[in-house]
Amino acid sequence: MNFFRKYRFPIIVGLFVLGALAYFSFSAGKGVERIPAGRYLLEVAGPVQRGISGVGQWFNSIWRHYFALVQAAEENDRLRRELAALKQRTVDHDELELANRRLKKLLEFKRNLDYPMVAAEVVGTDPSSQFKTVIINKGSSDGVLPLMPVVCARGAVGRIIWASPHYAKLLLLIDPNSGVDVIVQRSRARGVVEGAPGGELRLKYVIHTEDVQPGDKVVTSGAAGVYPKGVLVGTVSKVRQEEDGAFQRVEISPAVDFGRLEEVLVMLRRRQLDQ
Amino acid sequence: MRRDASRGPRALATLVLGFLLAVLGSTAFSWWALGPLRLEPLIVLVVSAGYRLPLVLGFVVVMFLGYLADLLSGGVMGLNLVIFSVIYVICQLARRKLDIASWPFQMLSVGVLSVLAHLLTAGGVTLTVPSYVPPANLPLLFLAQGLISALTAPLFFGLNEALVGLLARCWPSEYKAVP
Repeated sequence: MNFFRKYRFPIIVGLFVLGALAYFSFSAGKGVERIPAGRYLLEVAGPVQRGISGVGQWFNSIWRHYFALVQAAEENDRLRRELAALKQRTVDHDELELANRRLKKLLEFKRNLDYPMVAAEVVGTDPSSQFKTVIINKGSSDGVLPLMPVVCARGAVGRIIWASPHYAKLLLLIDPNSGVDVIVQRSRARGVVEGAPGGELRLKYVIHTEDVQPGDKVVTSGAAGVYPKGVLVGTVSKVRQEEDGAFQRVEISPAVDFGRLEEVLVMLRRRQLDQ
Repeated sequence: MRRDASRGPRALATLVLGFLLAVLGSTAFSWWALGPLRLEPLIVLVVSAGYRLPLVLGFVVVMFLGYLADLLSGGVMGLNLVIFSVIYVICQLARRKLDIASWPFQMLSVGVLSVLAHLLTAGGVTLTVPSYVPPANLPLLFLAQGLISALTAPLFFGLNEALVGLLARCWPSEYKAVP
């Protein structure tokens, strides 16, 4: 008893810190998709994120399309109200048209790929600058499960790493933890695409003898079992032959603008290697 | 031995505010980000908990915040849990000699510990992703992030204290002070 009193602080600190470290090493070893619990915390956080995102978009729309106009216009009250209402309707119409175009593209893309898919909206982004994940508003009750690939009309977006019943966390291709087996479309050279600092992608393990040129399109190989073959990942932007070492340094500009992700498609296929 | 009357309201305030700020961190704070630099209010709450909450209760609160941060950020679960625990232990040790009541010290503590948190995050990512190559401007980014966290620290400290005060008023009186 005296021993515990004397060493209370180091014992408690040791227990908690060791617990945290054990959890970290357990998670790192097992992979995020196998970590239990917390699912319902995401269920609570998700609607709040969605609400804040909605309010933010509304304010953004008001700021851009309404207040700017009001400042410029010196019309009478009736005309101003009418103009604002008409402008708001135009904005709504434009938004609808843009959404329609985006969804049309998604639909065409979906038809081309011929896999069962579910459309989802991005409701939250990663608060940390070092990681690249987003939260989407579809979860396990919609059939979304960890390891499922996510795409949009422009190409590959990432993969699901965590799903609660109505929300899921998506690891973007530009995150350093991400890795996709790819081929260069023109020369069929093979490699692995990983996230690089600055929101770019890096193509690794391409040996010196392979033919890779700036402008080449890079698509998924389908080999790792997560993505189907042929989904566009990006375009080669820079190739550097290293003096020493067996591989080339290849940089890729992503096909998807990750800063403007709004709607995505989750492909309802699990990694074939697991099945 | 006198127990701190505000520990219950403080723990609850830290949990509630932590949840709200974590969600805001993934939405509103991302829109106001200056490039890679963002507001990091959770670090402030961890520092505040380290200086003002009792050891075990504070650990439970900080671990919840770490788990929540892991849930909303990054690919490896447990990294924020470890980092928040380390920061919390440092603050628990520092409170024996220092008090965090003044705003310059709040800013200094949060700034330094924010840089430490980013260093630990980079270390954690390097450990879990062996191929990860940190960008060359990383030290500069960490310093800038530490500065932003330091400058905004008094605001979040104030917010937390306001919520503690509000909750303390509604707290059942039999739990307020136990001699």
